[in-house]
Amino acid sequence: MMSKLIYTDLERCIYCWACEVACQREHNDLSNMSVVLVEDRFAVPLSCRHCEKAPCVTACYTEALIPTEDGTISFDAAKCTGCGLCVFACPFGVIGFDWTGKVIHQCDLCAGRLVEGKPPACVITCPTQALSYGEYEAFTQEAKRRAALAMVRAMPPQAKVS
Amino acid sequence: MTQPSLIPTICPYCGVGCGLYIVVEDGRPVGLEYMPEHPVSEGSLCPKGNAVLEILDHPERLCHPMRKANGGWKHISWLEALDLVSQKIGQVRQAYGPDALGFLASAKCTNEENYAFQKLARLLGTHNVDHCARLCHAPTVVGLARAFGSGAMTNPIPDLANADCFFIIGSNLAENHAPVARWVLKAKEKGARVIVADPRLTPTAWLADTFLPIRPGSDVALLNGMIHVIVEEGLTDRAFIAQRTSGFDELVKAIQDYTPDYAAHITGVPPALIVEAARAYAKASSAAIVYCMGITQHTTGSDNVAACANLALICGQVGRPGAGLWPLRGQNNVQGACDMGALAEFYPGYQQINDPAAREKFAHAWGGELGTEPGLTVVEMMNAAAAGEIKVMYIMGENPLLSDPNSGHVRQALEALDFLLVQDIFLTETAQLADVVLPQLADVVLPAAAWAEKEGTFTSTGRRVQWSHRAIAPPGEALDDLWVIGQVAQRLGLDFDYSGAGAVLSEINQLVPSYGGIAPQRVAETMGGLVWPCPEADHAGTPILHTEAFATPDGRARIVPVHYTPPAEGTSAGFPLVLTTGRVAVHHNAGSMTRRSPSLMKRAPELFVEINPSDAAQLGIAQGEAVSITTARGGTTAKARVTDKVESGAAFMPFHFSGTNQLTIDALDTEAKIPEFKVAAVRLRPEPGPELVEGLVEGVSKEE
Repeated sequence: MMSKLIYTDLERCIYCWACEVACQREHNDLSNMSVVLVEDRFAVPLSCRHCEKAPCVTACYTEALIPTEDGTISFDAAKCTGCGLCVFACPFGVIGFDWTGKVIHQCDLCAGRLVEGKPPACVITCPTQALSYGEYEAFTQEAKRRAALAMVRAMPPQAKVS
Repeated sequence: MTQPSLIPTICPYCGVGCGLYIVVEDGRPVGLEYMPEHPVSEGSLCPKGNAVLEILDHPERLCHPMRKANGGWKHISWLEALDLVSQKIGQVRQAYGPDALGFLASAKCTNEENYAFQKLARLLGTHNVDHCARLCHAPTVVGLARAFGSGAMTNPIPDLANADCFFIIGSNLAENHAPVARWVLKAKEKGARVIVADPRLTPTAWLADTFLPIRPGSDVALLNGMIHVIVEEGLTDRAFIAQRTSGFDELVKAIQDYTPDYAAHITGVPPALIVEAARAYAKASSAAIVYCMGITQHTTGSDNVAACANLALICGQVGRPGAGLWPLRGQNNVQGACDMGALAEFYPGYQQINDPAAREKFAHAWGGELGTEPGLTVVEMMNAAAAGEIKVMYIMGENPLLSDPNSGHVRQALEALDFLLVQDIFLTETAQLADVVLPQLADVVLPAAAWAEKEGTFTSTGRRVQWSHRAIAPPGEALDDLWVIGQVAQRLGLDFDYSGAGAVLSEINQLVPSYGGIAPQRVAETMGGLVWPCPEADHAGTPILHTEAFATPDGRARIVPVHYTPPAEGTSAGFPLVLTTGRVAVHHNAGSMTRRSPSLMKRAPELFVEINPSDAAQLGIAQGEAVSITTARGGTTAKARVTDKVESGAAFMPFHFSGTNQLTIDALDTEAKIPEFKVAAVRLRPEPGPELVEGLVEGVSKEE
């Protein structure tokens, strides 16, 4: 089962860093979100994708990182040795390192907030709704709807009538 | 231990007026919670809003009244501080007259505090009371008031979702008013066309369908060029012009020379794009003009605003859902401070100082004599201080040493004073020059303190008056501004006996017609507050202005033709580049709060200068290197950001750090008295910074 995840609409990200600062505040001063600027023209918010075939899980020999039943990757700090293999394995570079605790940190989808029925901090704070939290189907349906709308609008008026 | 409680407050940073909850446990702020039910922010917060808690418990908070002694600071009692302050004010007033006093109010303080503050100044006999709105949107107050009879945003922020065309000029809303971008995008999703005019390719420009790369200070030429196209092509709204405006014929004559080619020559925007933007704006069902300090911070600021108003009026794009002008204001209560008369030429509610009827009304209500002539504005007060004409300044929650142009001159002015009183939450750069510092309730420069440690109303840029609740007590001996103002006033023999913010708001209800129905209990209980004008207790508020008639005496809007005039300072061989200034997403204005906020400083730690790659190559400036920047007024250093966001010939610096306003010019718009922060002629040179010197030394030792 594909889990509920944080999805990104790249056309909406305005590089304001609200998600990063919100994540940092929510996670004891350690942000699991990074907004990356590309050529001064685009920004891409990156956080753990909770991969279905997660390289970090494969790399973690202490089983500190394990897949859960709901399809996310959970992290057990007590089992983490701070070896950093997961950091190398992650193709997105979104596994952070806590130099004080000598363990890694990664997105937990604001588990504490989800229990209270609240969306992850990065999602609710996002001024432009570039980030959303939900099912794969819901996100792709919405993306299809927007794409179809844009295509129709781009058509000349007569094409729409005929 | 008690259960955590959620206290609703209004964000202390920009003018959008987002709601947020402070999570309070045992009297301490332990967290922040979003407010999805808020009508404007819908739960969102920008990075600054997310970092507000870092200000409340900040170790540098002022906790005691302090007096300067032997070059340092000495803690004194409130009693001693208040006696000293009132004594100094009284003596100078006696010896030199009331106009030897100067008062700077604060766009960070509540309506009630600003109201009391300007009342204090005026009852002491001077209208020398002003605040930083002078430095951001004075041309909006002047220009829109002249055109429409009301100098404020015409429609609410959420109404942007109803526009099907946006003309965004001189506003980087994506960085500076991020939740506004949410509403632009809601419209865009429905098919709205977005046009952005800006000298830089900002994140706001990323949202555009059409981007007009305009030269700094050429806005009137662009707007007149668009008006020319609209008139020539018969795209005006003739019925609207005939029924609701006056002055159109003069405008037609005035814009005759502003052909697209001529406008392109001045603005640098290709003529085809000017035509495209004009057609899109005029043909839209509902078009929104969104502007900010790129329009206002010029010697032609009032003309720029007038040109925006003209464009809207000839197309009938005002007074309907999705059609209007959205000037975006930069502080949580800059609209309210203006509404409350923290401006040299207005009593509360924009009632003119030189109107005998207004004087009579306030003299009667306040029980005192009032002067007949407007007072000095921010920059004029600094000039008067430097000339020895103003002897005492009382500065509440402002940091003019950073926020004003030509800061070398501001320092001289403040140092020339006999006595400087600063009321703030931090020992700002300005406060360090003071004789006495009173720790404030932090609502001033510091929203954290202000908003969470006291109560009262803030008015957002959308005229939305919202009550912010007191969540926690201020630190140490700090007290709220309203109490301090009252104590000073009473010691000077004035009858200021307010039991709290509610009592002041009740007085405001009586004297400011547009706030007539915004009673304390009503506004405190209404999520999202009330939008003025709200004249009576049962009035629902007025989200959209000018729907039937304009607020002018005859109900018609005034079309006032304006002409392009170049910025005060042109480039020269010695200063060949044009410097423009602005803001970044994680900092706020003079930075007194955001530069103390670790999570924000981490993301923008230092002053930088953006320069185009071709200019950088010519000057030998490399990415990330230290650069010296010089104008005719002063110099500073900053780190180079080589980027094609800025055009060749231009440079950009954010003004949150102390270096930038060493460079800017204090030339003023003759009418609105705003300085031209947005254009200065500069020279850039690579500067071998300390890192580089160290690197060389290290390199040499390795060679050996």
